[in-house]
Amino acid sequence: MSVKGYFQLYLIISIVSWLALVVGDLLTLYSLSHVFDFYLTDFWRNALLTSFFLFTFLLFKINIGQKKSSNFIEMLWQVFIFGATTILISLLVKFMLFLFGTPVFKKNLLFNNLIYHFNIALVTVFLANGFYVWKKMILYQKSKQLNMIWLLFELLALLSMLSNFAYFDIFNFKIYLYAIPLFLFGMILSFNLKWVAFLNYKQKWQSILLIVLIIVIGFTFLQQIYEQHFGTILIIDLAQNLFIGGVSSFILLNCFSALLVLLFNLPTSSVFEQKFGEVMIFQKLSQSIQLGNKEDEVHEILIDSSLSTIFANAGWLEIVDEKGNFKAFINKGISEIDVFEIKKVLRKNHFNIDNQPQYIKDAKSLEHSERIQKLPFKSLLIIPLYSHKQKLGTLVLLKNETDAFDKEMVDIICSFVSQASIAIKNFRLIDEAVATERYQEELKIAKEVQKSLLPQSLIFNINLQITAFTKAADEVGGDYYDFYEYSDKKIAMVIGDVSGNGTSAAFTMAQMKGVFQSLVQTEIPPDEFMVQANKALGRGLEKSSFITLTFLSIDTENQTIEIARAGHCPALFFNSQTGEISYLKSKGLGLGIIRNKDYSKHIEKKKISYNKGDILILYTDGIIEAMNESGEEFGFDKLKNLLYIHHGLNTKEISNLILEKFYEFTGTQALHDDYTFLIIKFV
Amino acid sequence: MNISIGKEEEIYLIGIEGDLDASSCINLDKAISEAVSAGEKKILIDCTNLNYISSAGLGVFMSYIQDFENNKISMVLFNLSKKVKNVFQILGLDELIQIVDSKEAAKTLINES
Repeated sequence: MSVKGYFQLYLIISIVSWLALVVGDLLTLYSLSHVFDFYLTDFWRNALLTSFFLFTFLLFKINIGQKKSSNFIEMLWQVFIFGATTILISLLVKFMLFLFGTPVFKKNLLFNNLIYHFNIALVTVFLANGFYVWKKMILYQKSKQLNMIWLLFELLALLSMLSNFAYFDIFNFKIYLYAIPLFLFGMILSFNLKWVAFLNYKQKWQSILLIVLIIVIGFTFLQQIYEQHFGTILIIDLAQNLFIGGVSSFILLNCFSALLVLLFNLPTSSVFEQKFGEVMIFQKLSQSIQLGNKEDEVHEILIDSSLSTIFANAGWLEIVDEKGNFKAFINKGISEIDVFEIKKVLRKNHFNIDNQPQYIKDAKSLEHSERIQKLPFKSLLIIPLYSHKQKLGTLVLLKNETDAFDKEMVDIICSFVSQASIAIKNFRLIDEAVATERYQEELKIAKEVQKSLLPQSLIFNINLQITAFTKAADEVGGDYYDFYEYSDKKIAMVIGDVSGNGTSAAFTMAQMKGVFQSLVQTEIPPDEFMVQANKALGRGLEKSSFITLTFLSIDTENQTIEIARAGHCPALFFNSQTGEISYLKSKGLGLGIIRNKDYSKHIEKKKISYNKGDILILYTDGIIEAMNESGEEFGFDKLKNLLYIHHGLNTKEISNLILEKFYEFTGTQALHDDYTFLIIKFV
Repeated sequence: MNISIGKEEEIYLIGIEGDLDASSCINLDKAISEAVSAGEKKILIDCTNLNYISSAGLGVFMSYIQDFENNKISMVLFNLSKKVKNVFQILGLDELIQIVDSKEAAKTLINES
């Protein structure tokens, strides 16, 4: 069963017990004076009373047990409110009786007992509430031992309900046999008042007031019980009930002891409170990251806490970023202009406010202080914020009195500052990590973009064998190649390399593709292509970036190649007729190096004829410059020799062979550049 | 990579040692821009110990071509290894930047201009 289920069950049992008791007792009393035969036996009466006590107490045990343990004032308030309400009700009933009641009515046995039964209910609930509230207070920050004592005490107290079944006279000594241990346990427990220490000054006063009121209420109840004990014939008399007596003395004992402790604690309370406040500020500063605050909030916490902790009249906080640039400024109790004036005076007096804590006892006695004579401030405390030797900012606090900062104040402010510096540094580290993450994400996108820019298929109508291979280095690279098939007799192709890597290279490549796809449509000659491309790309390119490019068109009808090279690695050509193999060197400046009309002077077109069986290899510098473990480059000669030996193979086989030899050479070396090649065999 | 800076009469001498790549080229850029802002008109770059140059390194030289032309500053590179020289040639930079084989030749060339 759930807690709520138990709660409801106890509530029902307790109400039913009480109602049964009321009805049973009233009928019994009624049958005394009337021809009516009903009486509740003592056993049943006591059983019902015990059941009512027990379940009312259990009810409050659950109810209060669930409450948050640190809100003492609210708990005391609850006890008070409940007690006050019941007292008010009973006083109101008395008052009504006084006004309207006839003497006969007042003497009526039935009526008096009915009222008394209501009193029983109210007293029981008041005591149950008080009992478990004190339990919560006593067991605040409990030890194991204390918990044991409480358990024993609670058991003993609840067992004392059984005394309902035995008639005790209040003056009977046997009652003390039981009452003394109960009282002793209660005494021990009432000295456990740790909760008092956790109240601040105001709360302590509130507690004192509430406890006094609760004591008054408690005595009012007792007074009523005894008034009726001596005044009326009662069928149940709480005045002689061991349980009620025990619990109410326990509550009152605790009230008195708490009252004393509270009173003695009042004078030292403010010092304790201040220390406690300081600890809370530390916590606030160190938890600001977990709480999802922003760096700005740390600045606010730092200056506010510093000002309030040492009762400074004004202050300002300057925060700089990693590069020492001004990032944030907060001024409290002082205008920006006054801050400026004070800083000027400090500078004129050669105070280095950036490096170490400085304390100026009387700013007005400084030289050149004319400008700040009007200001109320006299003492100045200057503390720089540092983290790992990196300056984060400066905190300045001002007071209107001279020499107003003592060592303790300086110490506490220094520790605030160092705690805040850690928090600020952590914020910045987190920001950095986020930025890196974002950069990685950007790279991923750029890589996707780059991949999508390269031709997806190499199936052409033209009668040529073409094989392409490309591989990007870890980061995004700038290798690019593309084709444009004019007809089954003519094809244009381009291979290029954008300087630098990363996101910008990928986007330059995207521009490159746009330029190629638009210029190529016009069947532009290769050299003119370069001039136009230089013009188009030059505008958007970074100052130190350039592109190397080889553009060529192949005419299978006339068996000619027209080629221009703009700073790109020269194409390798194998002539099957002569067996000659050579790099097609021609004049050609990379794109974007000079971005004016002069570019056309630096580019030339080359036209060669080819025959069946000839091979052309286009590649990027990643192939040539790849290094092995001893720092040697793969180089031009190796590529040349490879083609020379294997020119008989088809392009796919040549490609595989080059790759095989290439990886054999580089070994496990990580490659820092992209590498790309196109192999064209004329068939 | 290491950059050494020297001064011989009117000539500002920058020596590059090691690999000039994306991470180190910023130092060379700094050295050249300091020379420019100091009003130097004759800059010699000693490439005797320059082992490797990446496209980012080439980008540094390239980015000053226009500036130098406008401000009548002359720059000569000397003693490049065959490999490094080849990189300049492939890109076509040898047509825009004066490259000679020895320090003496470089001095002669720069004093003529």
